[in-house]
Amino acid sequence: MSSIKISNLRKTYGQFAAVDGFSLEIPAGSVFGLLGPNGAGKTTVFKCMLGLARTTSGVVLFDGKPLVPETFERIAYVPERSVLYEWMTVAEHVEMNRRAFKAFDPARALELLAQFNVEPAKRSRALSKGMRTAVMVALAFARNAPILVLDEPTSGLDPINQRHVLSLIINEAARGNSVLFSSHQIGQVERAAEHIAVMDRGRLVLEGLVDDLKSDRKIVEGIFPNVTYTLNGIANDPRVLRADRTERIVRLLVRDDADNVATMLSNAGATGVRVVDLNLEDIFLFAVSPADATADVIAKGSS
Amino acid sequence: MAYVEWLRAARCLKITAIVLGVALVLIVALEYTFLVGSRSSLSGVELHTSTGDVNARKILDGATTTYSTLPDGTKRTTIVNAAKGIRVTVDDHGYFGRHVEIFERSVKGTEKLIGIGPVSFRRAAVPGGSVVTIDTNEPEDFAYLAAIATFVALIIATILGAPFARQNDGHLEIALTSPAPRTILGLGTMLADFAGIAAAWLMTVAMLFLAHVAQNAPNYTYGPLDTEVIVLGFAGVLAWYAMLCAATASMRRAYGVVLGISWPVAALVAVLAKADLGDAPMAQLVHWGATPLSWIDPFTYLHFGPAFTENGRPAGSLAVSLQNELPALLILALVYVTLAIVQWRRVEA
Amino acid sequence: MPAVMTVDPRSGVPIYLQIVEQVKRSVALGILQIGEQLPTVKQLALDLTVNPNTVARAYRELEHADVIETSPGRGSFIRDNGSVQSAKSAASDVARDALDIALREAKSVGLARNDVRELIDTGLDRWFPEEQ
Repeated sequence: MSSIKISNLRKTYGQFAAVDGFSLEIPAGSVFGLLGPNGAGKTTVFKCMLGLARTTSGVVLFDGKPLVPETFERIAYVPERSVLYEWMTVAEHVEMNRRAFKAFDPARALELLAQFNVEPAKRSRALSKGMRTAVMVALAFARNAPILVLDEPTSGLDPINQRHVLSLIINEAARGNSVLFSSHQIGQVERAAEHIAVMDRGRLVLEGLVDDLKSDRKIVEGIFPNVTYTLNGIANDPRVLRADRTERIVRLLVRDDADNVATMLSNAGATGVRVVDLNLEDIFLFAVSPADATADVIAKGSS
Repeated sequence: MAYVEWLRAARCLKITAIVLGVALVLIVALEYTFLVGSRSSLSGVELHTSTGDVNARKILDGATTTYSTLPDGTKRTTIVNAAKGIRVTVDDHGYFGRHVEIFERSVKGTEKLIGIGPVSFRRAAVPGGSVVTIDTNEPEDFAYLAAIATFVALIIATILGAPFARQNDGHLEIALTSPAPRTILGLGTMLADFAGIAAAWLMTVAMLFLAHVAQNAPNYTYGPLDTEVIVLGFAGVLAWYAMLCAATASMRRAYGVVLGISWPVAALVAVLAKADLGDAPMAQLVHWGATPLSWIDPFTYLHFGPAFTENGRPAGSLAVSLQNELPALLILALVYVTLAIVQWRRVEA
Repeated sequence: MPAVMTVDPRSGVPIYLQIVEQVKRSVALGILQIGEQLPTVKQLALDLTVNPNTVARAYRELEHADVIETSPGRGSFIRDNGSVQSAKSAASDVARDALDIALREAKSVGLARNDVRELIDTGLDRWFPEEQ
């Protein structure tokens, strides 16, 4: 049973589709990273998922059931921007959470706040952006909720506190809870998440296990002796996801079997053929960016 | 969320308490300075008779003053000005007030009865002249305190009046990810505010009571009419608060403007609907437009008038009409609460 | 266990494989002795700041490769599978992998065999002068 199941989520503002047919399944007890450029629709997905915005169409299920107010006993949410009441102290926010949620642990909240170096007596308006994020994170993780939805939980935090948030996420994973989080820090996502999804312009463009994506996807690169050459249809090979060429250099994004494709490229006359590993940032950039502006993408169907 | 709203209301009450405390100090100081003065002189009489009918200087110039003590311990000052035909008796009951009688020979003043809080001023004709009777600690209708407290409560209601707009302005994510349904959250919020408003009402009554008691013995009367004043007052404040909530429930930023213009607009609508503006078409149009608006305006129903005895004379009491006004206010309150909640349920973060 | 493990998430190599390789290498070099206990999955995940399932997968691989054995309730221990390489041959593997990468680079930038031979000689002179 998946913790969260999003099916064909659509959210339009007038003519503009912020989320356009987005589907995702978060398995129970997993850590799921959601990546995407600014404006891809990640925050909109979170908002629609949690009933903060009305969906145009689509279904979201939590542990197999639709969202009702009681479900929020089991979901902890960190929004993208500060929603703390400026005039209230941090301690008053702790008290507010204690009254609102049965499983909230005020002692743990205070402990986490101390780890982030936040004084409970301070009013929210006296806190920097990073400290406000830290407060929201502390309050969410003190909830002992089986599902955590975190929208950019490290924004504004210094590197020590960022690492701290990651440790908290990993700790939740070790306890068997599910975490869905979005981040622009791909290195963090690589560490903490075992699944990722990449979103661009309202759509899901890539999804999978981090380890599998990194083992499967490679770049096969080669140099041709002169500018005129044919690839003998290598670009049409089903294993080749994308082919870019810049003058004499050819780069193929290959899924599975990179070595065989490398051999094919050598046989086509390329020299210095090598297989390059991709890290998550490379994979992400390939998924969301159009082809290199200086390259001609070899259209499928021509060679 | 009710907790957050309660914190807000409590902050407001703190400020209210300070303001009321300062007002209390000022009132007591003013009372002492102007209305009491030295207990055995006439220095307060001039203010009591601010109509100018009785002039203390005129009385004292060329008069003889004698002091005596009545059998019950009351200190009596008698001032006789034979030349002007004036006789003044001041009975000082100390904490329990003063009773002053001023007899003026062959003055035919108009019959008058004026009461300001505990002080009353009466002029009556007697054979040979007229007598002005001044009492400084007359029985005071509790309804007066209730009316002032209602006024203060309306102000507090206006200050607290846009709880949903404040939530909408950047805090919806907290309210909307709570395990309680939005309706319950909304009602809890409004309840917290109303408790704060009721507390402000009580604080005002306490302050006015203390202001009185600092100078004079308490002398309040309480009867069924007073209960009606209290009930209508609360109904009116509830309707007013609910109206403001409904007006601002979908807003995010500009709610301050709505709260600010609420009083002038509501007062204007109530006045325009009731006033006789003449027969000009424009006037008729304004009247025609204001009348339906006045039906949904709580100010229309909140009128405190003097009570009258059977023979038409003012009974010295404050009264309200509950027959139409109370149901109207309660219905308005219900409608506005519903409108507020319905709107707030639809707001998106 | 000595805390000498580091992982580089930015590397193209999946993290679980990095862990597997480092454990194997530590065993081969004698840093990890036979019978020594590895940290729990949760502990190692927190130490390295990586997902616990990644560590779990690494441990499964290591178990599959007979490098460790896991008893439920007791933990994971380095096992004596009789085919642990000697330190020297493990070191040779490391060196050979590095040399392989270097030679592939050299080829991809277009060097000829003789050029590479020259480079190697220069390198040997620099790093192994006493063994002329």
